[in-house]
Amino acid sequence: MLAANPFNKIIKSPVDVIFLSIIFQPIIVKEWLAFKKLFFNDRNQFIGTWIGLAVFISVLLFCHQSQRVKAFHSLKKLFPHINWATPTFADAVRFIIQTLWLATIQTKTACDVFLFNLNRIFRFLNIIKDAVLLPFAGLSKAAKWLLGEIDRLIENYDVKFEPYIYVLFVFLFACIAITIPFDVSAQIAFIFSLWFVAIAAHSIFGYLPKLMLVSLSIIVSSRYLWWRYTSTLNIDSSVDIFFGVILICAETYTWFVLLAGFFQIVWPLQRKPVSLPGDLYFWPSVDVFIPTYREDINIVRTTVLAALSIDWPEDKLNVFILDDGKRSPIQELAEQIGVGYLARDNNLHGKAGNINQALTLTKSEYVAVFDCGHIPARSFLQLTMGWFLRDKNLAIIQTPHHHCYFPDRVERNLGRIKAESSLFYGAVQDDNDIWDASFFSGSGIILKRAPLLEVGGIAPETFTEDAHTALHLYSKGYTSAYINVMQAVELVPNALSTRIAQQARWARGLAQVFRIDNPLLRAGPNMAQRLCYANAMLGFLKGIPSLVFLLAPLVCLYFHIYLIHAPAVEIALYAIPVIALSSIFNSYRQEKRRYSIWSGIYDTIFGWYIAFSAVAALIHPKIGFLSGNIKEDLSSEVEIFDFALPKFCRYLIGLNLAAVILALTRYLLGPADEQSMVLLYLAWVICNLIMLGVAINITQQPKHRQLQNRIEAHDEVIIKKASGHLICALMENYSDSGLGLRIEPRYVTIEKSEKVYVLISRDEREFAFPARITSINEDFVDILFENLTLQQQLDYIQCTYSHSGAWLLWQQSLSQEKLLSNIKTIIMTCFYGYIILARKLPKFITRHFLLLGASFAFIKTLLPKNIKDNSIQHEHA
Amino acid sequence: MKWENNDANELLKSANIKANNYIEIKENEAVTKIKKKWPLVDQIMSFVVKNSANRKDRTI
Amino acid sequence: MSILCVQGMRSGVGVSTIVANVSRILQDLDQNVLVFDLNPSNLLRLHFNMDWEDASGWALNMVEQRSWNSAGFQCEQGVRFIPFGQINYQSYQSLLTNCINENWLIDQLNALDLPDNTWIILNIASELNTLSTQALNNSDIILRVLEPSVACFSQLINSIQSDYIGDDLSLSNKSFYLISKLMADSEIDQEMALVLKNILVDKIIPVSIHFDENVKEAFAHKTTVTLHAPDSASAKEFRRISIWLMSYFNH
Repeated sequence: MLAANPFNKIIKSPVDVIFLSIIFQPIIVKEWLAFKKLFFNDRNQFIGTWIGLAVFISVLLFCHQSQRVKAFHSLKKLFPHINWATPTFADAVRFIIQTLWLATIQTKTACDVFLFNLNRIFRFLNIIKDAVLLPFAGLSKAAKWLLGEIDRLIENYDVKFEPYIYVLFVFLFACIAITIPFDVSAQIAFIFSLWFVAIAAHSIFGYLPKLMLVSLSIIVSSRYLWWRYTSTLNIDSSVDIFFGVILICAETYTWFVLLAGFFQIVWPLQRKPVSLPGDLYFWPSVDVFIPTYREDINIVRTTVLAALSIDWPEDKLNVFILDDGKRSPIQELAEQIGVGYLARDNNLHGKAGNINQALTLTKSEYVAVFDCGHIPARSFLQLTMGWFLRDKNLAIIQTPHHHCYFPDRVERNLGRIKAESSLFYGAVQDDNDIWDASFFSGSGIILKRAPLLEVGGIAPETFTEDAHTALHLYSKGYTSAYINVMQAVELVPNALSTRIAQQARWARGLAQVFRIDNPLLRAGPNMAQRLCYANAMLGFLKGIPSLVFLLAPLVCLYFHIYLIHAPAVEIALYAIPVIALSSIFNSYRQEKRRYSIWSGIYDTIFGWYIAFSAVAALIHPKIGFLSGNIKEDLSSEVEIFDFALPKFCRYLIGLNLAAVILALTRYLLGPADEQSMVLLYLAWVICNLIMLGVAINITQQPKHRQLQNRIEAHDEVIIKKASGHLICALMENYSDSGLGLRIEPRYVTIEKSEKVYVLISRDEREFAFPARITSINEDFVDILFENLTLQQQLDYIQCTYSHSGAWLLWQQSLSQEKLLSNIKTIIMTCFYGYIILARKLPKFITRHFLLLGASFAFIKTLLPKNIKDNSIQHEHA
Repeated sequence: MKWENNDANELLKSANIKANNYIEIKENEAVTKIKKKWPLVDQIMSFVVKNSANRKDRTI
Repeated sequence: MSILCVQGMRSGVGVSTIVANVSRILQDLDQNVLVFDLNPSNLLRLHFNMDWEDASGWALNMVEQRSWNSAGFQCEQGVRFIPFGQINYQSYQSLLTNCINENWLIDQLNALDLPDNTWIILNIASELNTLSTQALNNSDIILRVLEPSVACFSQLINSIQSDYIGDDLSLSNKSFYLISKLMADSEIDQEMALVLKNILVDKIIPVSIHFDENVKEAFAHKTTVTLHAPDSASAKEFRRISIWLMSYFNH
């Protein structure tokens, strides 16, 4: 009988009832039918019904929980992108899409909040997920157990480690694994088994699994390279072989870099701070040098005050301003604060000469150097000096520093990356920090005087006086140390171009060192140190292979050349695992430097400039020395660079777009056997285009006119009004002259240009600073300090810039990078980059492009939004 | 219970960095300066120091 | 039953304000609170909006030979409190000597038979007498309030050195010190606060209460500062102290 069929009932019932019964429990469907009967008399008006349904659902959402407000809040949480006040048609679409999303993907949160009828489906999905992941879970469990057993074995039996036998064994095994040729199906099987192992290893926390992943990456890329050398070079055509060899050289270079990274992971540098003796009598005295040439006096003041704030016995800490600018205001400042002021008659050898001159005039056992705008934390010396006392051979200690940044275009468009975005710049800088090759920053550094004088002071011959000096010290048998605790901040916001120019300078300087005083050949340094120098030099050259990879697909498409002489499928099968594993590898290598992908992009786009200056200096050390003074030189370089970089990117984009068109026509019109190859190149070109879009976005930054930069903070402070009322506030940013505060606007009456005190506390003390309110914008208040005394300035610096935890916390807040979310960010960045580019095109093209962009943006607003699980749980708790 | 203004040692501990005896030198110097500034405070504090030497079992 | 005893190092440091505010916040945090005013100045009741002319209180009841615990009140926000009552000096002295024996306080509190999770907050006078000594000895935690002034500092050192409150209580595990009326822009106040922290180390509660006009205004409005000016710094400080107390009792 038909009537007995339960499906029949559903089929017969109207669409709205089906819709409701899919999502909600039966009781609500019943309610709806009653509601409909009441208001529509069961007339089946289509539009009326749907409007009614919408009203019904909203009423339901409002009323089903006891408190109305709570219901509305959860509504806002579940539909964050819908404008409930004045909904438009698009909002209705968003509502439906989001409902479906909640009902299918984010079922758990939705079920928690509403009476959704989807628990069963949800449970079923979970079972499927578990079933799929079961082998991985089992594998990772087994691996965990095995590793634990190995650890126990090693502990219990004190295994005698005979490295040569192991190395031989590993080498033999690796040779076999690398050189055995596979056919396509075997290669597929190989990839899948690797992928399984990689995922299993990835899910285990610890050093050994990490090592395993890294070794896998090495094996895969070695296999790839072996395969490239043995079976993909087309020897028949001379043009093919010419370009093919260039490409394979670039690939070999990246393989070497990968190998170097492998050694960095195997022998990671994890130096912890060493405690100082409890008795202050044994603490050595330290001179702090602050070389300056042209910097703003406010920056000089901030730096000097921060140096004075270092937690070190007052009589053992001597601060000196080394002024090459010979400016009287700076001299007055030094007298007012009570620090030493050293100037000289000539500016010979720039910073190196400046420091050398100061070395003759001072006499403490240790010398710390901070560039202007380089603010040390209070704990700087206490965390570093312990090593000098323990290791008498140590001559240099270096710490990393936090980069202050200026919110750039990328960030304003995306509006979220915030603190990590300093890595947009940092990515270029920090590559060398990991090993002992960390002596390149030349600031935030402590030197031991005696060894330094023994090698004749800072070596002035090159741009990288620090690397060169370190080399001299190594030759005498001294060592260096790198302590990975964020203990300083670089205050002056650097434009990207400045950073790259600086990098280029370092590259050039290191190349000069290699020419003048080759670390590989000269007597003195040990093997590891030589390797470090070589690695650093190699690191500066990575722009060249990047450029090759950028241009290779263009060459192939334009000149119809096969660089890789193999079927497209095989290329993909060999190359994709290499790319995937090496990205995992890189994210490990730069553990706390989140954006490994970003740094890759930077290498690709800007690395060539750095590399070319290095090569030029390698050919002849004098090329690039425009003038005697280093800082002057830098600014002119920056100007050239600011102009040249966007232009270069635009040309490349043009070439790539043309290549895309060419590839498409060839795909459609060309011979059928070429199609897969063309597709491969097309994918390559599109990847390059994405990177170039990012580059365009980044190079179009506004110039930084503001010298003093506001630094983000998150501290509670108190505002004391002149009337004696105290108000809580949250310090959101600070600079040396003022603060940005957020207050609760409900109960507080605060007026513009009112005189107040701001109370900031540090550790156990609290300080009151007189200030004036300069602007009020809803709940955001800007204040400017007024007439701070010297002591107050000192206290202020201690509360803010040199607070010992400030940069440490920042370092902690970085977690392991998330590759996928990075990719999303990159695509958005690239997208905005092209919008910027399109604005510069003729109007009629721009209009179309912007329309396209706007429609993309609109479609994006329709997409369902992810809801954070915890926020809803929190509300319920 | 954790408060907003942790001292350096706490922070270092939380960052897994071993620096056991961080000495708040600026704080100690500040206390010395205060003693010099106010004679009555100086008298009371030197009394405390004297007595704590006599009575070692006390925290003060 | 957790007994919290709040005593000033000297009179006038703001003990009744602290008791009133902390109890109000604890009540807001769904705690069961009973405030017991043992201070003859009888000011605490005014924070809870009791009529100034209303002289009733437990001491008055005892003087007038009534059962003392009939003087319980509850303010609008739900805090239950027992005011001291308005009595003159002679009655107070005779009350101390005649009516209050050695275990009077703890017996009375036990007799109330309150549920286990109740907070009993005792507001006691800064000088020592039979009543305040009982309170100090029987409480689970003592909060000693001091101003960051040299006078208070001197008093503090005296009380510690002479075991002023007896049985080594001043440095025992259960006594803690709280700085109040800290004048934010006064140099000497800040310096004395640093000295106190330096001397008392971990015996000092890591929140200080600032001298805030809002507190005075709240009292003039016969309410607590959390209600009068929820954004004020002092409201936040009282909130922190309450949370500190809760976490102290939780472990």
